[in-house]
Amino acid sequence: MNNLLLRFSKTDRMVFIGHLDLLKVFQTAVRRAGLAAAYSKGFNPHMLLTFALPLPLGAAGYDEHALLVTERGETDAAARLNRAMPDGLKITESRMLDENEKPNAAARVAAADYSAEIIAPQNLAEQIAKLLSSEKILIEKKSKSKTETADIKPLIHYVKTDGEKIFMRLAAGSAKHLNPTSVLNLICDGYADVTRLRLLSENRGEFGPLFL
Amino acid sequence: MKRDCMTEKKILLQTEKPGRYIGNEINISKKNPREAAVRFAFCFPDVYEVGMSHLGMQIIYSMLNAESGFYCERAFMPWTDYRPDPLCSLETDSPLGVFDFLGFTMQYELGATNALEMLSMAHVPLLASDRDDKNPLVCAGGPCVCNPEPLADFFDFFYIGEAETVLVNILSLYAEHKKNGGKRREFLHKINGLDGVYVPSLKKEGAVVKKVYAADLDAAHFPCKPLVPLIEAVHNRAVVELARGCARGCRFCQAGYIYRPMRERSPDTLFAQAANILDCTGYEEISLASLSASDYSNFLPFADRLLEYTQPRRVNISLPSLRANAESLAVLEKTQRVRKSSLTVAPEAGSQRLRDAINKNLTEDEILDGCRMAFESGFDKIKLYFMSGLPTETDADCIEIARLSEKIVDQYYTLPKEKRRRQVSVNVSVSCFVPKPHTPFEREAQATAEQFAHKHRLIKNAIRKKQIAFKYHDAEASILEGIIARGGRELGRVILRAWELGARFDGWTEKFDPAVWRRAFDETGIDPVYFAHRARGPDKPQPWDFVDMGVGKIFLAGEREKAYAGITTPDCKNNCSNCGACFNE
Repeated sequence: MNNLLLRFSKTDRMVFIGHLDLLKVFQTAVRRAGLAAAYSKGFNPHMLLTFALPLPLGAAGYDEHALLVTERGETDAAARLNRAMPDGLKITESRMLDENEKPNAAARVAAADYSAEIIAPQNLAEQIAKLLSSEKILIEKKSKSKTETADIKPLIHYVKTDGEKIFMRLAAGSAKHLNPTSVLNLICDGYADVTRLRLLSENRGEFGPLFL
Repeated sequence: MKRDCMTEKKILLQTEKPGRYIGNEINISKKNPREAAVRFAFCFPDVYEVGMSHLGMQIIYSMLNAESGFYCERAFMPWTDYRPDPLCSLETDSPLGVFDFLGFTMQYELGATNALEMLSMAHVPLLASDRDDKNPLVCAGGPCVCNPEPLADFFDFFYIGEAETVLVNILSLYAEHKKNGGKRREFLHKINGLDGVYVPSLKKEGAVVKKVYAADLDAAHFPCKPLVPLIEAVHNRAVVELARGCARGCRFCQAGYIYRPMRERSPDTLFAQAANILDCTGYEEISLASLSASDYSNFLPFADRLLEYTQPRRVNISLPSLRANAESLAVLEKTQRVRKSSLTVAPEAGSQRLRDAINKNLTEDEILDGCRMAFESGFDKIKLYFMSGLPTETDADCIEIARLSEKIVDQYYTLPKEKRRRQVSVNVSVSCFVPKPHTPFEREAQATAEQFAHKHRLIKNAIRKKQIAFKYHDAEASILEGIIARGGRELGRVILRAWELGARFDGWTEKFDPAVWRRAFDETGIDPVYFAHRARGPDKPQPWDFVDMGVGKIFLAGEREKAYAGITTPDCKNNCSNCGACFNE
């Protein structure tokens, strides 16, 4: 098995492209770039391409990860893919994983760093201090069948501000995930422009990059 | 980030599909608009996903941008949840008002109010007579303009026929004209009288406008680096065009007459184009477009050759217009990597008598055999397309739609039990016949809403098998379509009034409001019944008579007579019936 790790940024106009469409954009780019992608077996084979964590629609990302299974070791994949990508999608790093590196991008995600900009920031520091001073931070989570109240405080690693922007580290991934807008809605009204700065893995309480 | 930019982002994110409004596609043309001698905005009066699946748009975009002096950009009709002010091009975000040309494609009569709405969003006067040298020249092409009169008030000129032939010439003439500081009025005079060009404000009694077409498809421009949308369009696939025009001569079918003569691309050209397009799009599907793919000469050898290329590359071949016969099914079996369980067949009429009258050269045996073979090769869903309200149609013909559908269900049960894995489903879809200009039925009275309702009831009540699902189209929208298709210049007042009253997306069932149109007819004093439901005598002049689409009027009249006599006309590939399209030089 050859696993090609792709780190990429999704910015500018591409923030308006949702996750499913992004998958298609990547698939056609891989084909245009002539990378030897591997496909699943069965009646309806699909390209073996996975993403670490979908980005919410509207959010930019600077440290996104995808894994592509290939039929041979590929060199220069980043440059080849970048020639095939639309503006706003850029492969920042590509390398074949070593044999001892597990190709499990999604499972490695434990947290994510975000920044957020709002149209008219007011008293951000105050609002954040007020939010974090409560013992529990309860929000309503809607699923298909029911609405549940959940305490999201344990999922917030930090929230801070420089007066203009908000910076957050929130639990992320398949086990525990907190949507940045859930937090932002408690701090400010209206639209917030969200950027995901980093995806992080956790090792004995220490956060670090997904792949070294 | 700038504040206004964030506001714009917020607005876009509140729309259903923000990806419609951002451009940025693969193979987009990037030029400096200031360096372009001519700026042309291709305007599609429907949503992005529909427009991006339209081959004509890809052809014009690629053809114009291949010229260094021209820059062709695009604009689509925004959905009802977004009204940009002003409407801008996707390529450079330029307001449409700054372009030299706004070129609309009128694919569908009910797109007229959307075209007006796009002009309005662009702050361009809707009436050609209100525009001056500061405004773009607004033009239109596409199948609807084979009767340009209902749209004549809104467009400075029409382009009748195929873009590959003289559109580049027209823009070159304009570049020259603009360089010399010429006015728009003078330019319109200059192009008036060119083949394919119709300037309504300069219409002269007795002058004929002749359509233009690409005589040699191998020499015609084809987009080998098509735009690849970033969001899901109606069709996300590569397209090669096997042939243009159709040899069948179904008498109800406007495309079958206005795109004559039938022309084919050579297998070598098609093969080279297919390979090229797949390489620079990365698509996993290629569609072999034509009005009747299985009529393409040497279709099987070509399909085999293409398969050799596509199969190792995991590319699926899709065939949108097959006749249900053994040959086609064999190709289907080979081409579909992912097996589809549903097959579409279009008998159009239920009885053999009526199929003969409309010259749908398809016998009941062929239909039943085709369906049986489809069932044998694993299909268990059949979609059947029929029309109601066809000329000469009787109640008995309607009931035959039910009978034929039931016979098709019976075909399934001739299969041995072990081969019948699931219950068969036959979906019967009945549309309302719309008489169109330049067809043998151009002068027929269209059925009224009551008559359509009666016919639909008859069919519904005659269906006795539970495996058959019955669906029919809205009669009121089809009647409006017919009125605009065959109207004169006075229809412009109705279209304008309907737009003022809020009509948009009339081609979308959920948006079409017949009450708005009834009011528009009322207030303009134009009688819809006169345009829709009167039979137009053979000698009465019609609004589109001055447009020469190649096929002769005498031929069309003869075809109408043959329809009423139940006489068929053979396929013109092997038996020329002298329609005039090939010799109309």
